[in-house]
Amino acid sequence: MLHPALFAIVAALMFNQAAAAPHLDVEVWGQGNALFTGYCRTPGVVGCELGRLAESLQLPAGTLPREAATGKFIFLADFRDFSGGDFRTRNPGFQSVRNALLPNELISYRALGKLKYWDPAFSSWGNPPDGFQIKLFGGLEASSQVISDYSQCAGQLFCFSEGSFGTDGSTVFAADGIHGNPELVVDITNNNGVLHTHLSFFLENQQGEIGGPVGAYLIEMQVTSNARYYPSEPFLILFNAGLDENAFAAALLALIGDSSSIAPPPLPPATPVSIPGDVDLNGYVDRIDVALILLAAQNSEPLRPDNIRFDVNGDGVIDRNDALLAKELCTLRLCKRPIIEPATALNMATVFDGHSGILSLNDIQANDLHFRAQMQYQDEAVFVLNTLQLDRPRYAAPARYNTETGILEIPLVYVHEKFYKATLRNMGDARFQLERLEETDPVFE
Amino acid sequence: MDNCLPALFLRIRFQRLPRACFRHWQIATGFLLAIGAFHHALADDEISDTSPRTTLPESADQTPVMTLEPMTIMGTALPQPLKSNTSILKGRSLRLQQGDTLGTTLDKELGLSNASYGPGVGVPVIRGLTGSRVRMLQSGIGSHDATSLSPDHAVAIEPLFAEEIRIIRGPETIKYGGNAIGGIVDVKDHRIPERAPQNLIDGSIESRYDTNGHGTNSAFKLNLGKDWLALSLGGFLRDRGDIRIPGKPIDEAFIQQQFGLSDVQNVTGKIPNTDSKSTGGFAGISWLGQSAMAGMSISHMDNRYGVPKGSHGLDPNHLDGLELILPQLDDLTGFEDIFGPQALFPSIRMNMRQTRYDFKGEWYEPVRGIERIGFRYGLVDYQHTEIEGGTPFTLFKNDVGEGRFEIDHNFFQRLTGTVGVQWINRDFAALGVETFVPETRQQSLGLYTTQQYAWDNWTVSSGLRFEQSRINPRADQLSLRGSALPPIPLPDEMKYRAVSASASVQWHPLKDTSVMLLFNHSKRSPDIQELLSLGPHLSTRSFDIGNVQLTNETMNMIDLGFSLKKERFGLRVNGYYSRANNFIYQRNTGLVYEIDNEVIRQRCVSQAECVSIFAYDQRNAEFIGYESELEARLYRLAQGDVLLTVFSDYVRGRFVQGGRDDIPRLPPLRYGAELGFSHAKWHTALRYTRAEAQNFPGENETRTRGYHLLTASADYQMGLGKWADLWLFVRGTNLLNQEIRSAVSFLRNFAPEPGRSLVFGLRATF
Repeated sequence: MLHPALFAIVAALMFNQAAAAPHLDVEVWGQGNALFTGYCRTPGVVGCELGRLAESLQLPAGTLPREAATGKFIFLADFRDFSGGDFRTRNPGFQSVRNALLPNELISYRALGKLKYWDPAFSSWGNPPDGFQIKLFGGLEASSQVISDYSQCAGQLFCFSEGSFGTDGSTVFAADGIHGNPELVVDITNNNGVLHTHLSFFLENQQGEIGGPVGAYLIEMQVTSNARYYPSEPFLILFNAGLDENAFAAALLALIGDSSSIAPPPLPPATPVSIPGDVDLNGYVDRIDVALILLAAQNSEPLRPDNIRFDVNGDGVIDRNDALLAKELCTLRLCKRPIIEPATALNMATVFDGHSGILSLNDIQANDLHFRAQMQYQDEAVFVLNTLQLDRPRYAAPARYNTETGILEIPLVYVHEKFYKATLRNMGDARFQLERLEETDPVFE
Repeated sequence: MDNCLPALFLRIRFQRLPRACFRHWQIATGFLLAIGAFHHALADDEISDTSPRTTLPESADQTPVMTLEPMTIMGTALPQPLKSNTSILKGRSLRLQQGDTLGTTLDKELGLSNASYGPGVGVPVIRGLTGSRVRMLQSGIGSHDATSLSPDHAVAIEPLFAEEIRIIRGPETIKYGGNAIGGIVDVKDHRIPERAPQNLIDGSIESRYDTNGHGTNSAFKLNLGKDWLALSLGGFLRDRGDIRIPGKPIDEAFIQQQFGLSDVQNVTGKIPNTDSKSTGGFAGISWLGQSAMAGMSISHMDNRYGVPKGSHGLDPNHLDGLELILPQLDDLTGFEDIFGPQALFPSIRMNMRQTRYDFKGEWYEPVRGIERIGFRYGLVDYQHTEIEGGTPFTLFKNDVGEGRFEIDHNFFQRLTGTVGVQWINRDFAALGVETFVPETRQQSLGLYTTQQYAWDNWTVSSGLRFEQSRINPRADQLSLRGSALPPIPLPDEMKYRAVSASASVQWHPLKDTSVMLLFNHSKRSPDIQELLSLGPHLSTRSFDIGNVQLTNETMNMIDLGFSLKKERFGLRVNGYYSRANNFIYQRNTGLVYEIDNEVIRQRCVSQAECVSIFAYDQRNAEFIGYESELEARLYRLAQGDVLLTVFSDYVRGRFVQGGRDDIPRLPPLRYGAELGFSHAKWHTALRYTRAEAQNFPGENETRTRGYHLLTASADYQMGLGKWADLWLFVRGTNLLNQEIRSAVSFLRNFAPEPGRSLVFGLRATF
């Protein structure tokens, strides 16, 4: 059972549903002198949601997003997945698991081909209208223009060519090909050969104004390495710009066609589990590992060869004990934190401020409607309703108002670092009588 | 060394003290032994000295004809004429204005503002300048904290102990070095006692309560001693909760406009994580001879405060992927420590500690023509730890020794002056996650002289300083963590030489009237962070790049002042113009740094996850402004005097090369009036200040709205028998409960100034 208060916190923070749009990250690995790319395989990891994506797009069973004509992988992203605007995205990301690449291996992208546009009106692929383009901003720190000698940078500790920062850090995918800088840095791997980074894609017109017609956009690129001679095979990235799932699925299916004849994709070499608890194979045991194990345990996932690392304690079952053990094994500074912050108006559905006498009811449910209200304490356990406004559901455990009995049940109210259950009765004339108040356990106990 | 103080008090055997403590204890002990030896030497001198003999020639039978009582005649040097850009805050005015920080204590003063970063930080801004350009001094020796490095670092000076605060607006580099190019704030607290109490013991005890945030401040001071020995003791305790404000702390329109975020974590009525707790104390001892004194003090302060939420992380939807997994989990019981609110959105806390050892020695008129030989030395061990969600992530350390040796002469009747030497040795280190400045050693040596010639109703003053400084980074190269940026080699040493000069003419055409013309040519060597920064700096939401070829910044200032002091009214007006050549500033490179990916880009999708990249650079700039104040006694009634004060100040700063952009974070035009009713035993005052909108915020900065600030105060002095006096006061600030977003605050769009507050206090002196 989800603890109401904790759910309330998480739910309040995860209000941007668009951020949850599934996407596919590009998994990168190296073998010998060559670089490979493929779909991310780690169950549950963000950016590895092939199954969820196929389900949401209602793709035929067993269909992999690969272009029928060429067998190129298609990675999916959505321009609406960022709260700041509909025409920009950080997805797809690029990631590699532990030891899949060399330590400090520099991965770059190389833009290829031309920008293609799916016109939902005609259900066909073609050129984007009116010169719309996708601009991609890559990393600059490993650019050949970087000068790290301060004597050539007028004393600045580093600069980009000729003592300035006037480098072109963007790649433009347009209908007539690639403009700007065709190769820029993705990122450098850490000491474990792990990579996880995101770039910045913008849909815009030739004047640089953000926006573009609804549809799907397709670009092509490959990744290169400073430590390997052969780049990866080219792959495609398909962006959804305002299409519903069915329309986007149509755009994808038009590319996939009948892909049954395509040779199976190369699989990355199996990576031995060397760090107990590191289920996403990024070289660390962190909070995401713990959350992934908890999710697998909640879904009662049976033990399989591809998820055997989720069974951290080796008892043959994926359960909460594995997550608890992973938490103990967590070594990152963001992992273990003492609980020192009390609940506040920010994270509690109901808060009473003893100094002002204001009872803030941030979520009241009455029948199917949700409200936000403030009451002022008067005397003799009477509150007067000051404000009441219609609102959206915000908390898992809102106060509940029974319109027939006039009873307001508050499951948890925060008062000066203590928690209470409370019941108020509507006495009419916007006055509420406090009928019951009893202290209850703190949120996390 | 932070543990030295309790160690010194609790441990008896030296060999059990930490090595560093032992070193400091040796210095302190040696200094005291030297004082004792000096006292004995002078005592011997006095025995053989003939000066106190007061008997007439003895008669043949050795019986004095007449014996006179010894008489001591003490001369008091006339105070130096106060420059028109100088003010001294002390006594009742100081007690009424004392706030939690030095910035809030001084923000009513003309030409001064308070650069807040939440209520835990309040750094004085003088004529729009602060940081490395304004020196904060504690009885003449620097506070040597980390305020110049970052705006979220508090000043390590406790205003509750202040007996007098001297403010100089404008360059004061001659005595205090290049970092005083914008002025000084010198807090005199008499930790090293300069007199013995008349009745063996005297002192004060004080307590205050602030309704805003339930703040409590308590302090005591004790002075003990007799004749040649004086002791002082003091302690304070400060505790306050989150600051209360009208409305919401985060300006959501700004967040939408600047970062494209429509949903931010915001609350109403207070600024979360702005509570603070601070404790500290000192002990001082002095030997007071007839013509010399020597003393030392040990002091320690511990200040723990939070900085407002949102200052270091903005986007609640970005948790490295956790934001997508957590909503799918039904039961997080047992995992609250890693998925609870504090773990997901951790608070930033600062734990600051400072221990100081101060030494002072003065010898008055050792020979004819020498008025005083003075020595001051301060050994400062400062550190603060930045804590994210309960876990330390960066430690800043500053170990500094600053000394000064001065000789005041009066060889000629009309010509007096000072010759001195000042030196500073500083070891700075930032260890941990946010280490955008490497470990560095900084040394400086300054030779200076000031001379003053008085003739008739004219006084001419001049000063000259030669300064040499060296900066040695401890690292050979800098690397950016997690970045493909190649390692950046650093020079072994950077050397600077600077010559500063000042001259002033003061004319008294009439009694109580003076006109002063002041010229300053001052140089400041670049500071460590300006030379060697490399990396993201979260409190300013920037990525800083240092420049090792920065040259001295030069300020040429002309200041014309007029003051008139009549029985019924007084007027003070100052106008100034400063031309800053090679003014050091941060140039926006147009690039951004993505914090989570640790990548440099030209542009990024999420402004909340990216910070702008700034490179330190130099450009000429100019400042022009004024301060003015008119005081008048409107009526003299039997119950008291009705007083009116009208005031205004303003500064405008612009670059004069490459476009005339505004200098960022300057205070707006301020004006107002104070109506007072004053009696010998009580005073009341109502003060209104209007600050206009700041419409010249500087490049990439936001404008601030104007505000009305209404304050009121009342105090009453009463005697408690012959042993003590009691002073009661109440002060109301921001009585209109206005939302005040200060133009000089880095965090103005995240944390406004405090809302309405009432401070009640009492102070007993005995």
